[in-house]
Amino acid sequence: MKKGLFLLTSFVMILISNITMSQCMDEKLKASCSSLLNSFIFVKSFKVDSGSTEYSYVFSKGTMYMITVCDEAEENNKMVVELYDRAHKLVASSFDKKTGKHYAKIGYPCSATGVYYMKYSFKGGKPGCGVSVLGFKRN
Amino acid sequence: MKKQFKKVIFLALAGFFLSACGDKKNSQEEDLDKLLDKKTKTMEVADEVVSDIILSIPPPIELASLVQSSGADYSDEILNDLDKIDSYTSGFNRGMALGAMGADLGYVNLYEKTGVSLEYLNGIRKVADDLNIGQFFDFETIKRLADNSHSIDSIVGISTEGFEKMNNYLKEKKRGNISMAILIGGWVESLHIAVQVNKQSQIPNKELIERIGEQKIVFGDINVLLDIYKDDVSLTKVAKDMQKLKSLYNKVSITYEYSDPVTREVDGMLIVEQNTKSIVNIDDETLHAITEEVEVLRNKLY
Repeated sequence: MKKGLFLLTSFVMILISNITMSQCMDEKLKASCSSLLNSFIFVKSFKVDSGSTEYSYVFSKGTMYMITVCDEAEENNKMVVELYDRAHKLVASSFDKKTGKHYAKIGYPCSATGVYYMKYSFKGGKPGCGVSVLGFKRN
Repeated sequence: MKKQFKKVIFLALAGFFLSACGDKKNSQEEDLDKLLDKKTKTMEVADEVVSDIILSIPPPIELASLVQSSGADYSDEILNDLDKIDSYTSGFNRGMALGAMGADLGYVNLYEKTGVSLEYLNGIRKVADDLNIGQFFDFETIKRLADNSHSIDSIVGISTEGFEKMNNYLKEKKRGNISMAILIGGWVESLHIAVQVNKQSQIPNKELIERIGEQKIVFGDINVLLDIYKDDVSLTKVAKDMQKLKSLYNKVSITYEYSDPVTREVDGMLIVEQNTKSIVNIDDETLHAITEEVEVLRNKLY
């Protein structure tokens, strides 16, 4: 009886875990993140489903970009994006260390064309689930 | 960091795979299974690297937007001829043409040419269906938005997202060479639009010339991808066709002047202000040669 209960509990836990994983790939999260773009045009979306992930992108001079950050709103494990330039020098972070504030949107009017790096991590240090959408605005 | 890590894993697995080929084994059957397994693992890591590089390349709409914002007049003479659609018979050719038509669609949409836009949309639908990826492009929504004169930015955004979905599907189905064809076709066509608009301009458009020169960065990424796909016959031919353009872009240089960023909050959004500058050096002779070569390349590719 106990063995059966244990197996059933294990099965339910695995099922819940799988559902959580599939939600990470959910189009709804991407759609809500895209809606933050407002007047910016969708360019790319980036999935973040591990502890720390880095993507690169060629930003163009004279273009205004917006990076949106969306996660599953897990308390104390907010997703943070850090933008680095081609020399890997930090340009901006969605988390302000001084005020402790998290920003869901970063606006970047690019003045130098080159490869930029977007490094995603979770503030609590735990693996999390999030989506980031990049948009641009026509001049 | 992630990309570098994957590249190290990729090279390590490739090395392991190659060294395993030289080992003597007792069972031939076991060897074949192991080799296939190792090869599959190697290819999976390579797919991730390819996917990351593809993700780093801007969609054609960005260059088209820069062309439009330069104040250039619209010209449909520079677009890819839709009558050529039936001549694309292989999957690779169709991929190239799909990428090119996607770039043309973006350009046409930005100038709000609804009638022409619908023609390109139909062309994309046909070629995408031929490639069995038409289901990822929301044709009906785009047509409805175009018919109702909705925000052009929404139409452009949905179209760009459609191409992203196609690309994700192709990655999932291990059809990376078709993704590459779409990417190259789109890039060549957007570059073609930029150089032709510049050529037709009465006075030199400094901003546009700079954008053309900056394509050296994206072209660099494309060359990295072509190198990864050096065992693919179609892409090897493309790499060969692109050699002259590569040597021309080697004459373009980009330098940087750095400055520290400053951030401020505006309506809940973090705005970054930075005066780091990129300076593009491209002489008239090189620009002219690039313009001519893109035309030649385009005729070879699609």
